[in-house]
Amino acid sequence: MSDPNTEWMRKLKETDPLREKTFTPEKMEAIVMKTVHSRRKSPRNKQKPRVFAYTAAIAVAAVLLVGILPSGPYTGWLLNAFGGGWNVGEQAMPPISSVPPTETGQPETEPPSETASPTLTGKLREHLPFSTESEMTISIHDNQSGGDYQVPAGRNYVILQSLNWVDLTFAKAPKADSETSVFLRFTVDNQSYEIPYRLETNTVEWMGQSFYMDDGTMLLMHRLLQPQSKLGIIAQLFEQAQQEQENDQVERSNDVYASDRLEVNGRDYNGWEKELEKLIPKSEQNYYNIQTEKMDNIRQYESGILTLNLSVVFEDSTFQTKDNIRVGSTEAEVLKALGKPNLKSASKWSYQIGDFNRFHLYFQDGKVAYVVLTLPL
Amino acid sequence: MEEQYWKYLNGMDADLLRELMEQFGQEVWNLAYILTKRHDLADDITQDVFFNAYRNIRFFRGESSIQTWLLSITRNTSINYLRTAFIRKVTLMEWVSDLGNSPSAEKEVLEQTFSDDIWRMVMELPLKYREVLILFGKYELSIKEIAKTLNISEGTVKSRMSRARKKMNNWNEGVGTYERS
Repeated sequence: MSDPNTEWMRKLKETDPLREKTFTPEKMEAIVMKTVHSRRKSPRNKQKPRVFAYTAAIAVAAVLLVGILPSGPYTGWLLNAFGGGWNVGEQAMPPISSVPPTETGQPETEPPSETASPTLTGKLREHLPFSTESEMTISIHDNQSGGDYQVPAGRNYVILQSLNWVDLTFAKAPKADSETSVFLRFTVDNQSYEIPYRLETNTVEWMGQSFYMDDGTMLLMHRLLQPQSKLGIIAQLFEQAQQEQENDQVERSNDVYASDRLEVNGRDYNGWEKELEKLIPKSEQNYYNIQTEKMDNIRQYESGILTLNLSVVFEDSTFQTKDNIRVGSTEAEVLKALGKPNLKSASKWSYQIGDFNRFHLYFQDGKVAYVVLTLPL
Repeated sequence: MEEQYWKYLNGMDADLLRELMEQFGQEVWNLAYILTKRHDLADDITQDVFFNAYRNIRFFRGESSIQTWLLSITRNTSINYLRTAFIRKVTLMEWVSDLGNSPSAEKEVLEQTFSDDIWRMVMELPLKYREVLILFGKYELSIKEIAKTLNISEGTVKSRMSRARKKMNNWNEGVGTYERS
C-alpha cells in the first residue's frame, strides 16, 4: 500500500488545481493579438531604425564639428545650439536633480529647466524622489483658482500605476507652450512633492520635459477637474460601476446569449473597430497605453461614438441592438427585450459572449446612458 | 517544436507563440493561480509571461528546459503583481465574467472549484512554502533551479520544502482521507 503522504505528492504532480481548463483558446488568441499583431501594425517600429540612424549621424557630425573647430565666432552658435555653457571634454549633461522636499512642509515645484534637457529613459517612477509604494496621499492643487482636490484614497492607484509604467522614451510629448497651473501633489512621510500636470494634453512635466500619462489618469483628472465635461461624466459613471463591483454589490447569472443580439447596429467590437478606421474623429486626446506600451488616443466622433482603451462607447440613441436596446432604454425594457445580465450592479449591466463580458449598459436614473462594447484582454 | 530547438530561435511568429502556449499555457496559468489565488491576476500574469517570452526568446540559452524558463518568469511576475497588488491594472471595463475582486468571490472560488482536496491544503500554505512545494513537487524543478529562481540559498529551499511537507503531512493525516492497512 502506498504511503498516504507520498500519495498527496503524486496527486500534486498529476492534477491541476482547478477542475476546468482555464487557459482557453480565446485567451490564447487574445495574447497573440496583443503580442504579434499589434506590434506588426505599428509603423513606428519600422521607422525607428531609420530615425535613429539619422539622429546618430547628425549627433556624430555635430560632436566632430564642435570638437575639431576652434572656438570662435563661426562655432560659437554651434555651442549655443547645444545649450551653451557646455564645453567639449567636460561633462556633456547637467546632473539630473530630483525635486527636493522642504522642511516646512510647503511643497516645492519643479524648477523649469533653462539648459537643454537631458535625455530621460526608463520608467518615470525610477526618477521620482519618492517611492510609489510608500503610504501617501495624493491631491491636486490648482494655482490659478487656489483649489485643492483630494484624490480618493481608493483611486490613488490610478495615478501611481501611471507613474510606475509611463516610459520616458515612448511617452515623450512635445514641449508645452504654456504655463501650467495644476500640480499633482504627493505627500509622503510628511514631505510633499509636486509634479505639474496639464489636463488639456494629459501630460506631466519632469525635468523640463513633458510625458503623456495613461488613460486612467486622464479620465480621473477629468472627473476631478472638469466633472461636467463629457469625459468627466463618463469617468464618474464608470468609476461608480467599478466600485459597485469591488464592493460585491452585484448579481450574477449564467444565462447565455446569442452574440448577434449583443451587437450594435449589426456590428461587434471588431466590426466597429474596422468601421471607425474609415472615419475621421472630431477630436483626439493622447495617452500612453501602459498595457501595450505604445501611444494611443481617446477619439470622439461626430456621430456620438467615443473610443476608449479597448472600448467603443455609444452615447447616441441612433445606435441600437437587434432588440432595440439603445441609449434611453429603461431597465424594464432591457430586461424584457434582452433578459437578465450576467453581471448586474446598479450602474452597469454586462452580458457575456463566450468567456467574457463584452456588451455593457451603463445606467443613470434608471435609463441607459451608454452602450459599450469591449474587447477583453 | 522539440525542446532542443527553442534555444536557437531569434524570434517568434504567431504560430510558434501559439505552439508555446498550447504546450505550456495551462501550466503557466496554474502556477500564477497557485501563487496569487486569483483568476484575474492569473490571466494577467499569463499574458505578461507570454508577452515576455515572445519578446525575449532570443535570450533563452537552453541552460534549463523551456518549461523551467517560463515557470521562472511566471513566478517572478506573480510576485511582482502581489507586491504591487494595490496598484491594479484594471481598465474601467471589467471583463472577467464570473469573478469579482472581492474577498467573498475569491472564497467562493476556493470552496468550489478545486480538482482535489489536496489543492485546498496547498492553497492554505503560506506563500513561501507553497511556491517551493509546487516548483519542486509539481513542476520538478531541481533545488538548484528553485534557489536561482527565488534568489535564495539551496539550504533555504530545502528548509522551506521540509516545512511545507511537514505541514501537508500533518493536514493530510488530520483529514483522514486514506485507509491504512
